[in-house]
Amino acid sequence: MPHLRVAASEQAFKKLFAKVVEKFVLEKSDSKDLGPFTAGYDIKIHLEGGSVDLRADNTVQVKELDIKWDRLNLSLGIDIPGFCIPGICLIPNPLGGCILETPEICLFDADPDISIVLPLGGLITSEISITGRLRTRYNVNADRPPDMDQWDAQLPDPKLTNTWQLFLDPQFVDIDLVDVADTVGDLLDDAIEAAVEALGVPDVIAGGLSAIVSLVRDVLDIGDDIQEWLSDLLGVSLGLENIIGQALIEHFVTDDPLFELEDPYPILDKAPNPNNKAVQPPLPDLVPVKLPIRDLTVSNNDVELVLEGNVG
Amino acid sequence: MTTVKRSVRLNRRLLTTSSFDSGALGPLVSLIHRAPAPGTYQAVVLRDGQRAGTTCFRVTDDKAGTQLNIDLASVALRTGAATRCACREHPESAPAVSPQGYVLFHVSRGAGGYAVVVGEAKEGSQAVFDSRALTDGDLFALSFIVPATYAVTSPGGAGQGEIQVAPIPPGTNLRAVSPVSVDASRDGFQPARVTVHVGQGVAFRIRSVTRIVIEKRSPAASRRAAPLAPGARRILRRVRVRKLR
Repeated sequence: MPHLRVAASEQAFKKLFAKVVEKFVLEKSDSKDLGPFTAGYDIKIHLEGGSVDLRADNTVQVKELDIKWDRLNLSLGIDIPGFCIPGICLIPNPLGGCILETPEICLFDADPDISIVLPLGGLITSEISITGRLRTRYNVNADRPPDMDQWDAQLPDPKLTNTWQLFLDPQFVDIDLVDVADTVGDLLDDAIEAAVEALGVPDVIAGGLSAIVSLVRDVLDIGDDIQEWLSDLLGVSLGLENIIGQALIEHFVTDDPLFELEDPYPILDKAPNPNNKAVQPPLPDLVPVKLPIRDLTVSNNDVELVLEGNVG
Repeated sequence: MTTVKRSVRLNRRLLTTSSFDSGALGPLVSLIHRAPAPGTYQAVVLRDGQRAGTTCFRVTDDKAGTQLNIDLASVALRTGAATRCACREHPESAPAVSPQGYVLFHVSRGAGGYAVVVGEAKEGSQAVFDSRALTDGDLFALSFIVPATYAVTSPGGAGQGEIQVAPIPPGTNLRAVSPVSVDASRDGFQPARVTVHVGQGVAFRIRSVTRIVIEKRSPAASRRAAPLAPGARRILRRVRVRKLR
């Protein structure tokens, strides 16, 4: 039987969790060569909301934790293959190909590149669900000099004491691109058309212009479902799902524990000796009392979390 | 935000060229002549009637290709107006074409105005081909980029033709589109009217005419008055238009 047992209600746990979520901010930018085109992102996110549930199977479930995209700039770089009018085949080869063909005519003297930046922040709704287990870990304070004892370690500010940490160890993190505003399709179409127009091809070649726009859409592999395309691009091709998931796990597991318990745990501070008498010289102060904690474990059921440990 | 690579230039000449002349070759056109008899040939490139460059090619019996492209603009740019015969120093390194093949002259850049005169690379040889005077069997081929109606004439010939160029139909695969052939003879063009779309080729097969000129009709020309009926008289009326207040 453990020497210590401390229980905290689900409500208390929710408050601890909310504080950790509040601290999560991820800022990152990168780009990737995706073959026919390059794509890049520049993001800043934080988390809001979400429902926390302690479950009877000793797990914790967090649902509908909203990703707030403070910034989501998606950049697309497309290398347009020329736009050339093929040569005229004057004498076809019955076996295939052409015996006599005029040279192809290209509108541009090199392959033009166009670059589009789509500001998607605020136009995309995403959420995270996490299922994990509560765990404890003993954290040896790395900043504490080797010759400093546990008494001296409590003097600096911040303290250099070792701690028991309670954290949520995510087992599953699901990131879901829930909704893409209808305006994203228009935003993308407008950006492509603006980019093609910027190439300077006169309107007189209307068919040519639409051909280039269509070519760009083909290069980007945009189908009918813009949400699916964007979800694939951001989540899979650019790997944002993994990046956010990893950052979140790191945040929960490494950066911000839910709770820290000083070890040894202070029970009584240093205090004047209660046997002091006015007419006598003061007796030595009572020494502070600290309780060393070992074997701290955590578990939960559907109503509370329980910390258990031994003293010694 | 949208950006376009600045180093890329649109070849506006392709869009602004409104006349195509086999006697003054420019962008979008190709002139094809059957390879002459085996030998080494010098092609003198002229621009606006002035010598602009020379190049050399061979017609050989060995396994040369059936098509030799000569870019007149590149020849002029590379050799300039030098009168030295390009064939005499290293004739064996000159590009070759099969005697059953074709020599295709074209202009890859610039405003045009090119002609080419081909003769054997030896003293006192006669010209075997002059692009200013086409010969039977030559082909004059071109693609249109700007939709419009174009008038076709053959100076000295009786015929007149018309080419209507429409925009590219959506989804067209230009590689799969066959060119339209037109026979050009003293009697006229057959067919006299053709309709193509942007990027579709038109090839004139030369029979007894020496030159083909194609000009974009100006909007005013396309709205000119209808031909007069026999015996009719055209009356010009001057109308003053007063601006209403």
